[in-house]
Amino acid sequence: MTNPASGNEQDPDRDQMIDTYYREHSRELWALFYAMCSDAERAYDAVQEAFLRYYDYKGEPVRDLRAWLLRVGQNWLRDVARKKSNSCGLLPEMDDFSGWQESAEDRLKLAERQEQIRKAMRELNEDDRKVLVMKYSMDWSAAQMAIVMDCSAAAIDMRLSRARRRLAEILVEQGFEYE
Amino acid sequence: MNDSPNSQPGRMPSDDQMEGFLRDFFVAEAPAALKQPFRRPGVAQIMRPPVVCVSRPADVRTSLPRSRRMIVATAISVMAMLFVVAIQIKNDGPPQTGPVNGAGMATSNQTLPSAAPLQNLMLVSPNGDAKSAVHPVGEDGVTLEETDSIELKPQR
Repeated sequence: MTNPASGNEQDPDRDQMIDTYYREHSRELWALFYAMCSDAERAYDAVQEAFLRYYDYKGEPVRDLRAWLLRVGQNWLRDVARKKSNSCGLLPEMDDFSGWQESAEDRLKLAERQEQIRKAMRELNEDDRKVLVMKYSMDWSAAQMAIVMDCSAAAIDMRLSRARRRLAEILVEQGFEYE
Repeated sequence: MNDSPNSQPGRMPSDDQMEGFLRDFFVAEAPAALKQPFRRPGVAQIMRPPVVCVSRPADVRTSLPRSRRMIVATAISVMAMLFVVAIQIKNDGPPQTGPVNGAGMATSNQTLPSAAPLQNLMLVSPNGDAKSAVHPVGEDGVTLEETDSIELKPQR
Protein backbone atom coordinates (compact mmCIF):
# COMPACT_ATOMS: atom_id res chain seq x y z
CA MET A 1 0.00 0.00 0.00
CA THR A 2 1.21 3.46 -0.74
CA ASN A 3 2.26 5.33 2.32
CA PRO A 4 2.67 8.87 1.12
CA ALA A 5 3.96 11.50 3.42
CA SER A 6 2.03 14.65 3.93
CA GLY A 7 3.34 17.60 2.05
CA ASN A 8 2.44 20.95 0.75
CA GLU A 9 -0.40 21.34 -1.67
CA GLN A 10 1.82 22.71 -4.41
CA ASP A 11 3.75 19.48 -4.70
CA PRO A 12 2.86 17.99 -8.09
CA ASP A 13 4.13 14.56 -7.04
CA ARG A 14 1.75 14.56 -4.11
CA ASP A 15 -1.12 15.65 -6.33
CA GLN A 16 -0.30 12.85 -8.72
CA MET A 17 -0.15 10.38 -5.86
CA ILE A 18 -3.55 11.48 -4.58
CA ASP A 19 -5.06 11.13 -8.03
CA THR A 20 -3.66 7.64 -8.40
CA TYR A 21 -4.74 6.60 -4.96
CA TYR A 22 -8.22 7.94 -5.55
CA ARG A 23 -8.50 6.06 -8.81
CA GLU A 24 -7.43 2.81 -7.21
CA HIS A 25 -9.15 2.98 -3.85
CA SER A 26 -12.15 5.27 -4.01
CA ARG A 27 -14.48 2.43 -4.94
CA GLU A 28 -13.33 0.34 -2.00
CA LEU A 29 -13.68 3.24 0.40
CA TRP A 30 -17.13 3.96 -0.97
CA ALA A 31 -18.17 0.35 -0.38
CA LEU A 32 -16.94 0.42 3.20
CA PHE A 33 -18.66 3.73 3.89
CA TYR A 34 -21.76 2.39 2.23
CA ALA A 35 -21.71 -0.56 4.60
CA MET A 36 -21.74 1.97 7.44
CA CYS A 37 -24.57 4.20 6.28
CA SER A 38 -26.52 2.30 3.56
CA ASP A 39 -26.68 5.50 1.58
CA ALA A 40 -24.85 5.57 -1.73
CA GLU A 41 -24.72 9.34 -2.06
CA ARG A 42 -23.65 9.90 1.49
CA ALA A 43 -20.96 7.24 1.18
CA TYR A 44 -19.70 9.01 -1.94
CA ASP A 45 -19.66 12.32 -0.04
CA ALA A 46 -17.65 10.64 2.70
CA VAL A 47 -15.08 9.51 0.14
CA GLN A 48 -14.82 13.02 -1.28
CA GLU A 49 -14.58 14.52 2.17
CA ALA A 50 -11.82 12.14 3.23
CA PHE A 51 -9.74 12.84 0.12
CA LEU A 52 -10.31 16.59 0.35
CA ARG A 53 -9.16 16.61 3.94
CA TYR A 54 -6.10 14.66 3.01
CA TYR A 55 -5.47 17.10 0.18
CA ASP A 56 -5.47 19.97 2.67
CA TYR A 57 -3.66 18.02 5.36
CA LYS A 58 -0.33 19.52 6.42
CA GLY A 59 0.34 17.63 9.62
CA GLU A 60 2.57 14.73 10.45
CA PRO A 61 3.30 12.22 7.68
CA VAL A 62 0.52 9.67 7.23
CA ARG A 63 1.80 6.14 7.65
CA ASP A 64 -1.27 4.28 6.48
CA LEU A 65 -3.31 6.37 4.09
CA ARG A 66 -6.11 3.87 3.74
CA ALA A 67 -6.66 3.73 7.49
CA TRP A 68 -6.39 7.52 7.68
CA LEU A 69 -9.01 8.03 4.96
CA LEU A 70 -11.30 5.42 6.49
CA ARG A 71 -11.10 7.10 9.88
CA VAL A 72 -11.79 10.56 8.44
CA GLY A 73 -14.71 9.34 6.34
CA GLN A 74 -16.13 7.36 9.22
CA ASN A 75 -15.94 10.37 11.56
CA TRP A 76 -17.59 12.51 8.93
CA LEU A 77 -20.41 10.00 8.55
CA ARG A 78 -20.91 9.97 12.31
CA ASP A 79 -21.05 13.76 12.39
CA VAL A 80 -23.62 13.79 9.64
CA ALA A 81 -25.69 11.11 11.35
CA ARG A 82 -25.53 13.07 14.61
CA LYS A 83 -26.73 16.22 12.95
CA LYS A 84 -29.58 14.29 11.39
CA SER A 85 -29.47 16.43 8.33
CA ASN A 86 -32.82 15.94 6.72
CA SER A 87 -31.96 17.06 3.27
CA CYS A 88 -35.03 16.62 1.16
CA GLY A 89 -33.53 15.20 -1.99
CA LEU A 90 -34.91 13.33 -4.88
CA LEU A 91 -33.99 9.74 -5.31
CA PRO A 92 -30.53 9.59 -6.84
CA GLU A 93 -31.91 8.06 -9.98
CA MET A 94 -34.38 10.89 -10.37
CA ASP A 95 -31.80 13.65 -10.36
CA ASP A 96 -30.98 13.46 -13.99
CA PHE A 97 -33.54 12.60 -16.62
CA SER A 98 -31.13 12.97 -19.49
CA GLY A 99 -29.81 9.93 -21.25
CA TRP A 100 -32.46 7.53 -20.01
CA GLN A 101 -32.98 4.50 -22.15
CA GLU A 102 -35.93 3.18 -20.15
CA SER A 103 -39.28 4.76 -19.70
CA ALA A 104 -39.99 6.92 -16.68
CA GLU A 105 -42.19 4.15 -15.30
CA ASP A 106 -39.36 1.63 -15.49
CA ARG A 107 -37.00 4.07 -13.84
CA LEU A 108 -39.43 4.68 -11.04
CA LYS A 109 -39.92 0.97 -10.55
CA LEU A 110 -36.17 0.44 -10.37
CA ALA A 111 -35.76 3.33 -7.93
CA GLU A 112 -38.50 1.90 -5.75
CA ARG A 113 -36.86 -1.49 -5.82
CA GLN A 114 -33.49 -0.10 -4.90
CA GLU A 115 -35.01 1.80 -2.02
CA GLN A 116 -36.68 -1.37 -0.73
CA ILE A 117 -33.37 -3.19 -0.73
CA ARG A 118 -31.63 -0.27 0.94
CA LYS A 119 -34.24 -0.35 3.62
CA ALA A 120 -33.68 -4.07 4.10
CA MET A 121 -29.91 -3.56 4.19
CA ARG A 122 -30.33 -1.07 7.01
CA GLU A 123 -31.97 -3.79 9.04
CA LEU A 124 -28.76 -5.83 8.95
CA ASN A 125 -25.94 -5.24 11.37
CA GLU A 126 -22.84 -3.46 10.09
CA ASP A 127 -20.64 -6.54 9.78
CA ASP A 128 -23.27 -8.35 7.71
CA ARG A 129 -23.60 -5.32 5.47
CA LYS A 130 -19.81 -5.15 5.13
CA VAL A 131 -19.45 -8.71 3.89
CA LEU A 132 -22.30 -8.25 1.44
CA VAL A 133 -20.80 -5.04 0.11
CA MET A 134 -17.30 -6.46 -0.15
CA LYS A 135 -18.57 -9.57 -1.89
CA TYR A 136 -21.10 -8.11 -4.29
CA SER A 137 -19.81 -4.60 -4.81
CA MET A 138 -16.07 -5.20 -4.64
CA ASP A 139 -16.12 -8.84 -5.67
CA TRP A 140 -13.58 -9.68 -3.02
CA SER A 141 -12.64 -13.22 -2.10
CA ALA A 142 -13.26 -14.62 1.37
CA ALA A 143 -9.51 -14.41 2.04
CA GLN A 144 -9.40 -10.69 1.22
CA MET A 145 -12.42 -10.03 3.38
CA ALA A 146 -10.90 -12.05 6.18
CA ILE A 147 -7.96 -9.62 6.36
CA VAL A 148 -10.23 -6.62 6.62
CA MET A 149 -12.65 -8.24 9.04
CA ASP A 150 -9.83 -9.76 11.08
CA CYS A 151 -11.23 -13.29 11.08
CA SER A 152 -10.87 -16.55 9.15
CA ALA A 153 -12.07 -17.12 5.60
CA ALA A 154 -14.40 -19.83 6.85
CA ALA A 155 -15.96 -17.39 9.27
CA ILE A 156 -16.43 -14.96 6.39
CA ASP A 157 -18.21 -17.60 4.31
CA MET A 158 -20.49 -18.37 7.20
CA ARG A 159 -21.20 -14.72 7.85
CA LEU A 160 -21.85 -14.10 4.18
CA SER A 161 -24.33 -16.93 3.94
CA ARG A 162 -26.10 -15.79 7.08
CA ALA A 163 -26.25 -12.18 5.90
CA ARG A 164 -27.69 -13.18 2.55
CA ARG A 165 -30.32 -15.29 4.19
CA ARG A 166 -31.23 -12.61 6.68
CA LEU A 167 -31.59 -10.06 3.89
CA ALA A 168 -33.83 -12.41 1.92
CA GLU A 169 -36.03 -12.88 4.97
CA ILE A 170 -36.37 -9.15 5.50
CA LEU A 171 -37.24 -8.63 1.86
CA VAL A 172 -39.87 -11.35 1.99
CA GLU A 173 -41.34 -9.72 5.08
CA GLN A 174 -41.53 -6.49 3.13
CA GLY A 175 -43.41 -8.22 0.34
CA PHE A 176 -40.57 -7.71 -2.09
CA GLU A 177 -41.10 -9.19 -5.54
CA TYR A 178 -38.12 -10.99 -7.06
CA GLU A 179 -37.88 -10.95 -10.79
CA MET B 1 -32.97 -21.76 3.18
CA ASN B 2 -35.05 -22.84 0.30
CA ASP B 3 -32.64 -23.44 -2.56
CA SER B 4 -35.24 -24.06 -5.23
CA PRO B 5 -35.72 -21.19 -7.65
CA ASN B 6 -38.81 -19.30 -6.80
CA SER B 7 -39.75 -15.90 -8.04
CA GLN B 8 -43.12 -15.68 -6.37
CA PRO B 9 -43.54 -12.94 -3.79
CA GLY B 10 -43.60 -14.16 -0.22
CA ARG B 11 -41.30 -17.11 -0.99
CA MET B 12 -37.61 -17.27 -0.09
CA PRO B 13 -35.35 -16.81 -3.13
CA SER B 14 -32.52 -19.19 -3.85
CA ASP B 15 -28.86 -18.37 -3.21
CA ASP B 16 -28.27 -17.97 -6.92
CA GLN B 17 -31.17 -15.59 -7.18
CA MET B 18 -29.90 -13.61 -4.24
CA GLU B 19 -26.39 -13.46 -5.70
CA GLY B 20 -27.54 -12.09 -9.03
CA PHE B 21 -30.00 -9.85 -7.36
CA LEU B 22 -27.34 -8.37 -5.00
CA ARG B 23 -24.86 -7.84 -7.81
CA ASP B 24 -27.45 -5.95 -9.81
CA PHE B 25 -28.32 -3.93 -6.76
CA PHE B 26 -24.74 -2.81 -6.13
CA VAL B 27 -24.08 -2.05 -9.77
CA ALA B 28 -27.05 0.32 -9.75
CA GLU B 29 -26.15 1.66 -6.33
CA ALA B 30 -22.56 2.75 -6.99
CA PRO B 31 -22.48 6.42 -8.03
CA ALA B 32 -21.25 7.02 -11.54
CA ALA B 33 -19.20 9.91 -10.17
CA LEU B 34 -16.85 7.38 -8.59
CA LYS B 35 -15.45 6.71 -12.02
CA GLN B 36 -14.47 10.34 -12.40
CA PRO B 37 -11.04 11.52 -11.27
CA PHE B 38 -10.63 13.24 -7.95
CA ARG B 39 -11.85 16.82 -8.08
CA ARG B 40 -9.56 18.81 -5.88
CA PRO B 41 -10.30 22.43 -4.98
CA GLY B 42 -9.26 24.90 -7.65
CA VAL B 43 -9.23 22.35 -10.39
CA ALA B 44 -12.06 24.15 -12.15
CA GLN B 45 -9.69 26.99 -12.92
CA ILE B 46 -7.06 24.71 -14.33
CA MET B 47 -9.54 22.70 -16.37
CA ARG B 48 -10.98 25.76 -18.07
CA PRO B 49 -11.41 25.13 -21.81
CA PRO B 50 -8.61 26.60 -23.85
CA VAL B 51 -9.23 29.93 -25.50
CA VAL B 52 -8.82 29.96 -29.24
CA CYS B 53 -6.40 32.70 -30.22
CA VAL B 54 -6.74 34.31 -33.62
CA SER B 55 -3.98 36.55 -34.91
CA ARG B 56 -5.08 40.05 -35.77
CA PRO B 57 -4.56 41.27 -39.35
CA ALA B 58 -1.81 43.84 -39.52
CA ASP B 59 -3.84 46.47 -41.37
CA VAL B 60 -6.66 46.60 -38.84
CA ARG B 61 -6.54 49.81 -36.82
CA THR B 62 -7.24 49.46 -33.21
CA SER B 63 -9.02 52.11 -31.25
CA LEU B 64 -8.75 52.78 -27.59
CA PRO B 65 -11.34 51.19 -25.41
CA ARG B 66 -14.37 53.28 -24.61
CA SER B 67 -13.39 53.86 -20.98
CA ARG B 68 -9.95 55.05 -21.95
CA ARG B 69 -11.39 57.37 -24.59
CA MET B 70 -13.68 58.89 -21.97
CA ILE B 71 -10.76 59.55 -19.66
CA VAL B 72 -8.75 61.20 -22.41
CA ALA B 73 -11.70 63.39 -23.45
CA THR B 74 -12.30 64.47 -19.87
CA ALA B 75 -8.65 65.31 -19.34
CA ILE B 76 -8.56 67.41 -22.51
CA SER B 77 -11.71 69.27 -21.46
CA VAL B 78 -10.30 70.03 -18.03
CA MET B 79 -7.01 71.24 -19.49
CA ALA B 80 -8.85 73.50 -21.94
CA MET B 81 -10.94 74.99 -19.15
CA LEU B 82 -7.85 75.59 -17.03
CA PHE B 83 -6.16 77.27 -19.97
CA VAL B 84 -9.12 79.61 -20.51
CA VAL B 85 -9.26 80.50 -16.82
CA ALA B 86 -5.53 81.17 -16.73
CA ILE B 87 -5.77 83.55 -19.70
CA GLN B 88 -8.72 85.32 -18.10
CA ILE B 89 -6.81 85.85 -14.87
CA LYS B 90 -3.77 87.11 -16.69
CA ASN B 91 -5.80 89.72 -18.59
CA ASP B 92 -7.92 90.95 -15.65
CA GLY B 93 -5.24 91.20 -13.01
CA PRO B 94 -5.87 90.09 -9.48
CA PRO B 95 -9.53 89.56 -8.72
CA GLN B 96 -11.39 92.00 -6.43
CA THR B 97 -11.89 90.67 -3.01
CA GLY B 98 -14.83 92.74 -1.79
CA PRO B 99 -18.29 93.27 -3.18
CA VAL B 100 -18.67 95.90 -5.88
CA ASN B 101 -21.54 98.36 -6.18
CA GLY B 102 -23.45 99.10 -9.32
CA ALA B 103 -21.20 101.98 -10.42
CA GLY B 104 -18.16 99.82 -10.39
CA MET B 105 -16.75 101.54 -7.31
CA ALA B 106 -15.43 99.59 -4.43
CA THR B 107 -17.49 99.77 -1.27
CA SER B 108 -16.30 100.77 2.17
CA ASN B 109 -14.96 97.30 2.72
CA GLN B 110 -12.35 97.84 0.08
CA THR B 111 -8.86 98.30 1.44
CA LEU B 112 -7.19 101.59 0.73
CA PRO B 113 -4.08 101.61 -1.36
CA SER B 114 -1.11 101.89 0.90
CA ALA B 115 0.63 104.38 -1.43
CA ALA B 116 -2.05 107.08 -0.76
CA PRO B 117 -1.45 108.85 2.53
CA LEU B 118 -4.44 109.80 4.65
CA GLN B 119 -3.88 113.58 4.37
CA ASN B 120 -4.28 113.42 0.57
CA LEU B 121 -7.83 112.11 0.81
CA MET B 122 -10.49 114.67 0.05
CA LEU B 123 -13.37 115.21 2.42
CA VAL B 124 -16.46 115.23 0.27
CA SER B 125 -19.29 115.88 2.70
CA PRO B 126 -18.71 115.97 6.40
CA ASN B 127 -22.45 116.59 7.02
CA GLY B 128 -23.87 113.80 5.00
CA ASP B 129 -25.45 113.92 1.58
CA ALA B 130 -29.02 115.11 2.05
CA LYS B 131 -29.67 118.21 4.13
CA SER B 132 -26.50 120.15 3.41
CA ALA B 133 -26.66 119.91 -0.37
CA VAL B 134 -26.98 123.67 -0.80
CA HIS B 135 -24.59 124.65 1.97
CA PRO B 136 -20.85 124.94 1.61
CA VAL B 137 -19.12 121.84 2.66
CA GLY B 138 -15.56 123.06 2.79
CA GLU B 139 -13.41 126.10 3.49
CA ASP B 140 -13.56 127.22 -0.13
CA GLY B 141 -17.38 127.48 -0.05
CA VAL B 142 -18.17 124.70 -2.52
CA THR B 143 -21.55 123.11 -2.00
CA LEU B 144 -22.25 119.44 -2.16
CA GLU B 145 -24.04 119.72 -5.49
CA GLU B 146 -21.05 121.48 -6.93
CA THR B 147 -18.73 118.78 -5.83
CA ASP B 148 -20.48 116.38 -8.18
CA SER B 149 -18.75 117.97 -11.15
CA ILE B 150 -15.38 118.02 -9.50
CA GLU B 151 -13.05 115.25 -10.52
CA LEU B 152 -11.60 113.79 -7.42
CA LYS B 153 -7.93 113.04 -7.53
CA PRO B 154 -5.45 112.69 -4.77
CA GLN B 155 -2.84 115.43 -4.66
CA ARG B 156 0.58 114.42 -5.72
